[in-house]
Amino acid sequence: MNIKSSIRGLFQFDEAKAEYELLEREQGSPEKLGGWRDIRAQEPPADEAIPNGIDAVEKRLRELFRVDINRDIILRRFSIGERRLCLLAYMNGMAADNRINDFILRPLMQAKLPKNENIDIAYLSLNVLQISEINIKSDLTSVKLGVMDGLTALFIDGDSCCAMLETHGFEKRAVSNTENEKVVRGPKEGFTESLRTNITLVRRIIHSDDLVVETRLTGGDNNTRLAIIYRHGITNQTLVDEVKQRLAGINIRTIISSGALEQLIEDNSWAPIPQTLSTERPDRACSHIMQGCVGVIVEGSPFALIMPITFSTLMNSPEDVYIRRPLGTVLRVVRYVGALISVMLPGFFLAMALYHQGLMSTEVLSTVIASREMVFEPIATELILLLLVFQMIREAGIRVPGGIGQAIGIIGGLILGQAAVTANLASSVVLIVVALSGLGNFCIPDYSTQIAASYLRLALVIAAWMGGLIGITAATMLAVCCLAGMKSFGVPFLAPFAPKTYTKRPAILRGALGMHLRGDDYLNTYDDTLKKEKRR
Amino acid sequence: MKYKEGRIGIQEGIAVTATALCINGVFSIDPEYAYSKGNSTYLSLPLSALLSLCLFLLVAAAMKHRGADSLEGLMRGSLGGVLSKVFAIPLMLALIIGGIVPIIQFVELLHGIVYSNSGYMEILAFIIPIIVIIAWQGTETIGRVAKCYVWLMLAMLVIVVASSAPTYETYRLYPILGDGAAHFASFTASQTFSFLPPLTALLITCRSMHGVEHAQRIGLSAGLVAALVCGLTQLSISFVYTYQTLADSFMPLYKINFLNLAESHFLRFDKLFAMVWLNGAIISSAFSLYAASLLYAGSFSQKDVNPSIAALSSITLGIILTALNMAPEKEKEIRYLFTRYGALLAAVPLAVTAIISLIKKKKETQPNEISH
Repeated sequence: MNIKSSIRGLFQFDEAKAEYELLEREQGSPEKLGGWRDIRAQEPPADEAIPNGIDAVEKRLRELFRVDINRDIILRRFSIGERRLCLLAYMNGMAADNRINDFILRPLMQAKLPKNENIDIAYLSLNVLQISEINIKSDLTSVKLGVMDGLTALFIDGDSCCAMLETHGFEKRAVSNTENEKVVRGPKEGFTESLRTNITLVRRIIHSDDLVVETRLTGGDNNTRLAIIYRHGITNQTLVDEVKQRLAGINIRTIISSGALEQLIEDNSWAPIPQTLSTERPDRACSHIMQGCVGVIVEGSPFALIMPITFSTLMNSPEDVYIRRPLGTVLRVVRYVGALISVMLPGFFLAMALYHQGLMSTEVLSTVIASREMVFEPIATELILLLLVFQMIREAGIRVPGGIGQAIGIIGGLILGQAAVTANLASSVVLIVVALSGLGNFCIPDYSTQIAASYLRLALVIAAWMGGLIGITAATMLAVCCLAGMKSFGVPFLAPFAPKTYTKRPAILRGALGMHLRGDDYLNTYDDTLKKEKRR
Repeated sequence: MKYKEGRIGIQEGIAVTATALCINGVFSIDPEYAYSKGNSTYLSLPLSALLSLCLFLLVAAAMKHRGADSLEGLMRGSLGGVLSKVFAIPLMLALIIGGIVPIIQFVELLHGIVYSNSGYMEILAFIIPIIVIIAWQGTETIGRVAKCYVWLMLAMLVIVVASSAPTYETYRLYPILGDGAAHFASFTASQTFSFLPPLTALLITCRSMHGVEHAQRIGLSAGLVAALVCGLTQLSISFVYTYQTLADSFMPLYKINFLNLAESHFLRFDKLFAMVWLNGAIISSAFSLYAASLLYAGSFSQKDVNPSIAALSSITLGIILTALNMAPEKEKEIRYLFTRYGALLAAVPLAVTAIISLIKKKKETQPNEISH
């Protein structure tokens, strides 16, 4: 709309411009306080048999895939050895063209077929097709799902079955280094977005014959593929059943990532701490699967979900077992101390500064007072403001590309901090407290737990502001109460400490590698010791 | 049934019971009564603990004899429906009073020393919701929280007791047995009021402890630990202060920080110690509150323990506020009454139930206890 017509529109009383409006489908008046009025639920599609005759098949496929408006689907007619009419259906870009040309079309079109033989799908699979994985299907629903997934469907005129040929050929990211779970010693490769690649990465590490990978579809309309990985005969079957049941109970439009899946299957999605371990490291996933845990990998997500877990699982790093025992122990102790400082220090400092100055020595107290002499805001708001700024720097550092992210960290941490102190917006002591707390937060290996610790830290600061030490006592007890009441797939979150379960592996100190012969007691595996001959 | 009983192991069971016993034993003493004419608490408190333990074992034996899986089941099985309800009321009262006495002590301490500008209600606003939330979560959470805190509390106790060792003087123990054997015996008997509520709570929550057998082991271990801890703590206090000083002092264990740790780094941490022990009082109170609610729900055929917890929480808050805002003379009278005769609230129903259960002939077809 130009300026002239806009001005004219202001002074002319002609008909208003039609506006698009998305109209309600439901009937009747709305509820007084809002809420949902469900429209009729869509019935799941019933299995549909493959029609007889290539023409009927092609017509039905055109309807199913909306070929008139959907140009991705390729329907290719040809004849086998100039005798039988065939139809290939595949998704452009999802299936590999060269595989279709070289190993399906060429052998079929150039095949010398015996005159007396009945040419059907079974015969072609045995004698002509040069594809490793072929599944015979007789319903169109399976055909549809397969084609959408990158398989190629082969129909023969007069045959009520079709062959689903393995022709996956879409672009995918190559296996690369892990982004978030870096280790100095240990494997570097991480999961990718391809489910097949991820399963391969797991199978490359676990050579045990009892490893089972069950693939299934989930995620409502989207039919996202996922794999349930466990050790058959070792992992507790009730745990496997529970995982399957929760996955089957998912009723959502789509699942794009394991992050969404995690929230849908965990015991308490309101809890700030995750109840499944989300890892991008195949070695870490395999280590837990070997112990008797269940792993779930979703197509399109470079993270594996491990369940059940405990609090110590979230605090452990895969590197702990890759380095020598004393060093691993020191690392773990440092990590726990860092986490404790991260959560407790700001609140404790505020409680001392506001309510219990007697807890500080005269020297420390005078330093705090001197550093805050020119700062205009109350110490509590100063602390909360700096914690907020720290979170902002961290968030900005994560979201922007690598090099700039590091620069933001340096600028935010050093220059902004120094400038804030110089401008009397913050005191140096509070800045040190926040920096130490932030540093401690990075000691926590799991990203979700880091965020949860940040929230808890803020809650403790507010509690300390309100009530000093008694506020911290109450808030800490509440947090411990939440953790003590939480369960991850039936396993108490504070196991093996509370409840005490049998374990030879200490939760904080790193035990000897020989202690790993037994699985964790709380997993209740069927065979929790290695076979004697293997142990020797 | 929504009784939130869950199942906890022996370690959690011992942790929660021993925490409640020790906190009640150490912090629920009436100094005027205990140290009036001498100090023998280091002997009488362990003896009280053992006396309470005997009663506990008697009831546990009766439960095994009758095949009851909880105290409420035993009462119903041996006393009948009406009498079991009548007996449940003093037990509930004993549990609530036993749970709130340490809380009142701590609130008075915090009001007097740490938060002198704050009222009782402001302090209670931080404590009561936590007690209710923990009790609301049920046995599993109570046991696990206790397990998380028990070592911290024990460490703080050991630090205080050990750091005051240089000031120990044996002459302060005199006169041994204080005002004589009669006073010693009456104090020992009356102090069972501190130990009986946690043990009663253990009997009520037997199902959560995997049965009477396990509960018996838990009670025995926790009782012995409590006897040892209370005895040693009182001995340490007795070494530090004469009975004349103690008779006028409030929470002598806290007072040690000021008088004996003046030269050490621990002096500044006195408030921290108080906060850690306050955690114990909260756990003890939550355990008592939950057990009282469970007893009520079981005895009065309630299908859900939550309404009982909500109701008893309100009653608890009411009693605490009344006790804290009471006129000193009236408060002294009531304290006198409870410190001397409070033990009867729990002891009589427990003893009568146990004796009747053991005497009463066991029926061939024992009615099934309510399974939850």
